This record gives sequence, structure tokens and C-alpha cells, in this order.
Amino acid sequence: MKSKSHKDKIPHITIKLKKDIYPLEAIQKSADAFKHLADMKIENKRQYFIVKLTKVNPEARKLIKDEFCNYVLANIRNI
Amino acid sequence: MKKIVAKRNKVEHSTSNTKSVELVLNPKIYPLEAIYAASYAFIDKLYIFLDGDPNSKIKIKLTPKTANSSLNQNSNSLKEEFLNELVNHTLRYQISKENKNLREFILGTALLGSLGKLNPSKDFFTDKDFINEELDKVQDRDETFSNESETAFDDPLGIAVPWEEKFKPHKKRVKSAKRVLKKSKKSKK
Repeated sequence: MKSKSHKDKIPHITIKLKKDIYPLEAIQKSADAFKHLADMKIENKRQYFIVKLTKVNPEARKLIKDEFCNYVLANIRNI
Repeated sequence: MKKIVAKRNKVEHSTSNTKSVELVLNPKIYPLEAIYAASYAFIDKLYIFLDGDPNSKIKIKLTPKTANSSLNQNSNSLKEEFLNELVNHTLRYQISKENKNLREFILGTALLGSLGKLNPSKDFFTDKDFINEELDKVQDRDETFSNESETAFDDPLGIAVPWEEKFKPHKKRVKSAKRVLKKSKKSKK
């Protein structure tokens, strides 16, 4: 049995954002702003946009989820 | 004032942990726009996450950013401060909604004043074709003005002539200057 690499062991971060509350444009802008901290992928699933964060910067790991949500909220006001 | 107090009591329920506070709000009382605005005002102090259905229930999770935050000392104060801001923005939203027509009317009148029509007809505010016609007239007027300004520009003193063109060294003048220099050199010798 192959041992998992270090990257595989680190779990992804997923953020579920309700479509009716968080507009896609704001999410995309935020994802673009956060791309230097993690690889971002936005998926469309029923009532939610699911943002998957991989290869997250270890220093930003603790706060990235909350900061991302705040950033999207701020972007809603600007779009 | 009574209205606001009544609204404050209609927060459906809230559960508070040691770190975060969760509110469930009725969007018919607190519109989503007001929630966005209140959240934006608290964005520097709190992590805010919105969930739920904007037609029936909106869930708001508030988490203080720092452990030393004064808001963190008492989860109730955190909730209350946020709700105060929410009431503030709800009221602002309602007022702006009520005054929308009046604001548009004032703006429209001001624009018409700039067109030279101080007493606008009703058509201006209702008929889109009428507005487009008026705007086309303004555009035509601007274009003709810009064309006129290009052709009918009069500059008798030559103020608009660039410095380089005005004081361009003339060939004859340069030649004569060279001759004078040569002569002066010869005379010195």
C-alpha cells in the first residue's frame, strides 16, 4: 500500500455559499484576490456555490475561510 | 420609534457560543440589503457568514476577529451592536425606498434645467422615446458646437501657435548668422 504524500494528507477547505445571498460575480472577484494564498475552484451545486481551496498557504490556513467570506461580503457592496 | 422596537423584538431566535453568535432574522422585517450594509459596517470587527433562505429565514453567524475585542467580552453586546446597526440600515433602506420617486423627480428636473426647459412635461418622466429624443437633441447640439469650435477659431495674435513653430530657425537667418560668424573670425585673425 502506497503511503500518501504530504499534500494529500492536508484536507481541502470548502466554503458553501448560498446562491441567493452571495452573487457569483462577488465570489469570482474574491477568488481572484485570494489566488496567491490558495488554489481556488468554484463549483455550482444546487442552491450553493461551493468554493474549494487547495494548496492553501499554511500561514493563512486558519483565517482564510472567514476572511474569504468577509471579502465576498465586501465585494457585494462594490458590484 | 415604536416601529423600531417592535422590529427588534421580532428577531426569531439566537444561539450564542463562547466565540460566535448566530442570529436568525426574518427578511420581511430586515431586508437582505440592510443585512449586507450592516455586515459591511462590522467587517473590520467580525467575521460574518450569511446563510439560509432570503425569502423566509436568514442566518447570520458572527465571530469576533480578535480574542481581545471588546465585543468578545460579552456575546450579547456583540449581538446587540450588530442589531442596532441592522435597525439603522433597515430604516435607511426604507427611507431611500420611499423617497425614490422624489429623488428621481429632483434629478430629472435638474437635468431638464440644464437643457433649458425649466417646466418639464409629464412625458419627460414617463415616455422613454421622449427622453431619447431630448438626449439626441443635446448630443447633436454638442456635436455642432464642437465642429464650430474647430473651424471658427480665430487667433489674430498667434497665441495658439506652438513655441517650436513660432521660433523655428529660418534657413536664410541661419545662413546669414553663419556668414557673420565667419567674418568676425577672419577679422580677429
